[in-house]
Amino acid sequence: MKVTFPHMGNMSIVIKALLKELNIEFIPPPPITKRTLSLGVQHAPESACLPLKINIGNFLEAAEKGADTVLMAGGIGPCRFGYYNQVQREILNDLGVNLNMIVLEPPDNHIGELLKRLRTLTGSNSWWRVVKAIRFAFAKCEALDDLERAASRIRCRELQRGDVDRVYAQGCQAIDQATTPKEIVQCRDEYLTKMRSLPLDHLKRPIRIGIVGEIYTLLEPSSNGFMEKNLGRLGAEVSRSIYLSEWVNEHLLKGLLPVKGHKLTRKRAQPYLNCMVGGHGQESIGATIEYAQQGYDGVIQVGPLTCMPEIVAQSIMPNVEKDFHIPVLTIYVDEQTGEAGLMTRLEAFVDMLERRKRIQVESGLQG
Amino acid sequence: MKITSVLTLSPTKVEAERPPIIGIPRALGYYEYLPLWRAFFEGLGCSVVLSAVTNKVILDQGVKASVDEACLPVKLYYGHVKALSGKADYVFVPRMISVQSKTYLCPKFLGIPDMLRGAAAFDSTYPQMLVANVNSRLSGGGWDKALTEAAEELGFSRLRIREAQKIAWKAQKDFEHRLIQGEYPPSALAIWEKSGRALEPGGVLPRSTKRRESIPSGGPHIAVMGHSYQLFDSFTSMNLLGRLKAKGVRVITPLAMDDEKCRQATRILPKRLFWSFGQKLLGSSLHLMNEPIDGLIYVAAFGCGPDSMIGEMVERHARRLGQVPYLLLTIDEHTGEAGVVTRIEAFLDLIMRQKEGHLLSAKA
Repeated sequence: MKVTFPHMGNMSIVIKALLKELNIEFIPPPPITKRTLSLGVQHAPESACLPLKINIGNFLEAAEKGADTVLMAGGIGPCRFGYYNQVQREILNDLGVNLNMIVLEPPDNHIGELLKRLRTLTGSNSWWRVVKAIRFAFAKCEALDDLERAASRIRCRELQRGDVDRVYAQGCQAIDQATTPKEIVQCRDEYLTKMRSLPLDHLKRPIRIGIVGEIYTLLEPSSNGFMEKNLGRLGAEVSRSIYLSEWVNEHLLKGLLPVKGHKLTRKRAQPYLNCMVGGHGQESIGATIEYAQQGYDGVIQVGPLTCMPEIVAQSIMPNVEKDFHIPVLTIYVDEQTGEAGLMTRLEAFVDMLERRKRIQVESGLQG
Repeated sequence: MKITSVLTLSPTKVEAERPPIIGIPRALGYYEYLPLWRAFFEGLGCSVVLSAVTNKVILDQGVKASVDEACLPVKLYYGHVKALSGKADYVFVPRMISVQSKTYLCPKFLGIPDMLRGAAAFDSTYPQMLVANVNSRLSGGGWDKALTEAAEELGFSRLRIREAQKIAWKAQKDFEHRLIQGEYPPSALAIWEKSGRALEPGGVLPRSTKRRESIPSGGPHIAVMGHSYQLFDSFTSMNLLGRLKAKGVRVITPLAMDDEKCRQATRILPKRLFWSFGQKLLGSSLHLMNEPIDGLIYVAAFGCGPDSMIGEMVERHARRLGQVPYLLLTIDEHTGEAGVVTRIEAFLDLIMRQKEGHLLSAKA
């Protein structure tokens, strides 16, 4: 059994750690490139959302390298992500690519279904070993998130362009290599220190932007045109509403681990959106409110084109904007999204926020 | 001193306590549940008004009020709700979370009352809305609870609500029965669409006055799949059903399929679909594919999540089976009528040629 999985941000490092601990052979898909996307676009339904297309590309490229099993997450609605694996299976079948799919999702009738699925993956490993492996992989996940948070925060302050990203990439690699929980923590601390000791402009008062929206386009930089990096280089401090460890804990582990969840965020959204709408619709609204309360200067909502939960959130966003006085820019991405066009929109938004902040500061001084 | 005469129209009292007028937008759940809603509110003693058949004004209003990325049926819903302002005291906007156990509707159905509320905060011309949650995922949380909730908000008593519900379900069951019998859905719905009061005194269901339309025989038999709010709104389907009928095509839609057949047909799939309308669409498509039909047309809304998945599944199964020609029409507010007509004509030509070919080879 040679297991592969779809890319989603730093997910590959985490799953690699998990599978290695369980002694399962794996073939990570090659990094997402133009070819990945065009393979996906060629075979996926035209009006499906972007993550499905990139997934298909990942699977096909991994199959070329010899993978025969896919490990991925699922769901039970109402977002269409829950039915991804079924459509993807049909597509791959028609292409004659035979990949066995192991889907992690809530069982329909009985918990046994899920355990059986997991057993096909874990083989002869004891449950204790599985739990240990999950904890090890999750430790990596949290360490990676810490690095990513720090990078997004200080990227706008770097004096030498590219410094932060270089150290961040090295840090990810080091965490990928780590073999014990202790080593993971050491790597994290080492690279956080390295990042802080770079030549930085400590006096800068940058504008602060929060990014909210759909999970895949939030976590996978290649799907959102490297938005965080670009915003940082345009001089904005960036924060994201969801990080990988939070998603893994809430979606895959059902909140078993003591990590900050989004329960409160969803509650904040209730005066505006009083119903779960699947995906991260409620979180997008709630997180925008949180960012406004924390004094952020603006929020960017990002999602794949035709994403249903984000459309619901987008429809309600003007009310949040008005009530909390925070500008929100909604960006949908698909395979047609050009980097230059995206960049222009980000630039304009950042310019607008900077001007707004300047005026606020000036009028504050006068008043 | 106030002078009253026998000629003075008396009593403002009845008028002051006149039961409210309930507006029902002609979009989304309308084509599945109108008899239930209308019979319920009329059973309570309210009068019911429907928004007009979709027209250019409603479309423009809807497109203006909603976000660009929403699908056409949702945009139209905005337009229909707005069209009812000034005509009704309340517009009934059910939040349809789930109409069958263990399923959902699409996220936009779940969010639409909030979306409308959001739009109304900027625009004072929206009518007042009567929102009730329909959630069959919870035990006892289906239509009964939703209708009770709505009626209690209007101040009706439990007893009266229960009576009205009985009538409402009778109406809905009768409607569904007619559909399964093969009655053309718009004509089965027509008795509930007339203005004034549809329900006769004493809770007697209205009878259709028109003769049943005879189904043309001999023409090709085509399955037209799609969400019912997509198919039966002649604006969102580019009057597809009318055009097919004019060409003598016998049409079968998902509304004419019973749930059991759909369940049977989707048994072959490894995973149950979690959208209730979607399950019916996929089930009836898979079922009909193995019946003697001449073609399958799938009408999808641009940007519809379930359609993008189900349309693909249906297409792949149809191609594998290799017997049924398949046409996918994706429609939004920019779709040109001429383009759609050309595609339908080409599709029908293909089917006719195939039929003739079969006849010739059968003769030979």
